[in-house]
Amino acid sequence: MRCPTKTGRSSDLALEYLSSRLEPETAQELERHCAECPACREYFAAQRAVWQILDEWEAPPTSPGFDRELQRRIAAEKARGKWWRTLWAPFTPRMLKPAAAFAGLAVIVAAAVLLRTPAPVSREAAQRGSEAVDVEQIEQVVEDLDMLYLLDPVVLDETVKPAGAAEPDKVGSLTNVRRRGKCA
Amino acid sequence: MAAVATLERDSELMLRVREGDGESFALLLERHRRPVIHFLYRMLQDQAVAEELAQEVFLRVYRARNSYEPTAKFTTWLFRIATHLALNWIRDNQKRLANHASLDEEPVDGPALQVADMRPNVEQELLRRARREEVKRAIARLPEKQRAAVLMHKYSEMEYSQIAAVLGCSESAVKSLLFRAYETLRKRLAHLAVSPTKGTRSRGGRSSEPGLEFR
Repeated sequence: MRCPTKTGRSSDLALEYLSSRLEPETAQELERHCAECPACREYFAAQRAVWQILDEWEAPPTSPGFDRELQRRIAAEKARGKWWRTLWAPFTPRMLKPAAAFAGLAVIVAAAVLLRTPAPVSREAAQRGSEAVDVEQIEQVVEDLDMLYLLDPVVLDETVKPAGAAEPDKVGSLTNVRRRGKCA
Repeated sequence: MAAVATLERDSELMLRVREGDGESFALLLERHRRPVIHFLYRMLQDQAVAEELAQEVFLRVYRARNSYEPTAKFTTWLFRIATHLALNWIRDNQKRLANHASLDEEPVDGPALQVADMRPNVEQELLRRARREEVKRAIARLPEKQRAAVLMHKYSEMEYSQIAAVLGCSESAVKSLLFRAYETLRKRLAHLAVSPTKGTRSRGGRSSEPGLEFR
């Protein structure tokens, strides 16, 4: 055997040897080597001494009531478990399936009802809406007339002008009034 | 081979516990109660706390019966729970432990010796107690992980792989922890080893084999 102290294997071998994990042949080799090598002999003897000292530490005996106390705690936990299960019974997985299906159906029905029913509109809001539409329509019509007039006043005079329609200067004056109002 | 058989038996018992078999749980308790309590006692050096935490260990085992899967060795799982609880307890009671260490110079276990009790072995008994107290102190002063590793290796006879699984580190890290721990203990207890007790026998765990004399 190569000297464990020189090869740096002494700690490893000591752990294996003292815990009786070393192969019998290797253990015998080590013992033979230690008989010849003072450094290894000293190291392994010191490790063995520590091992022996540790053997002297005995743990005290277990209390006689240990098992009884554990059984009591397990029984208490079982009882608590029963109470808990009773409380949560309606929410157990078996009950959760139909409950979830029912809730889903209710959501679908509610969504359908809400989508089919038009939102109630107040009278004032409706009136404001119609007024806004009217003003916009009038403005659009006036702008269209302006455009036509600017493009070709002659054509307008001859073809578009109906009987009793406003004179071009009047239309122009109307547009001007509107423009002035806008600027103001 | 025996280890495999034990693994099977423990796992089988646990699977039966899952099916509601109280007898199997009692058998597991009977088998592992002592090692778990002794490990916790040596880790915390307080028998009452050790028993309280051991109760919690077995309660957790019982609670986990429905989700138990025999993927690891039962003992490894058990000691992982025990170590976790012990380390948490140490962290939660650091201050108390510091005060306790400064005050507690008296032996905490075993009956107190009476002055009037002058039997011939009193001196021997006092010497034994003093040595034991020194061992306890030396182990208590080890860092938590080194302490746990030494206790599992020396007294619970666990393999490196098991200790590694319990502590959540590699086998080489476990070996390193053990080397450092035993080296520290050798230095701290060197004065006790000047005249080592001849023929000391193990009181649980691995013992040094008689007849392994190098000189």
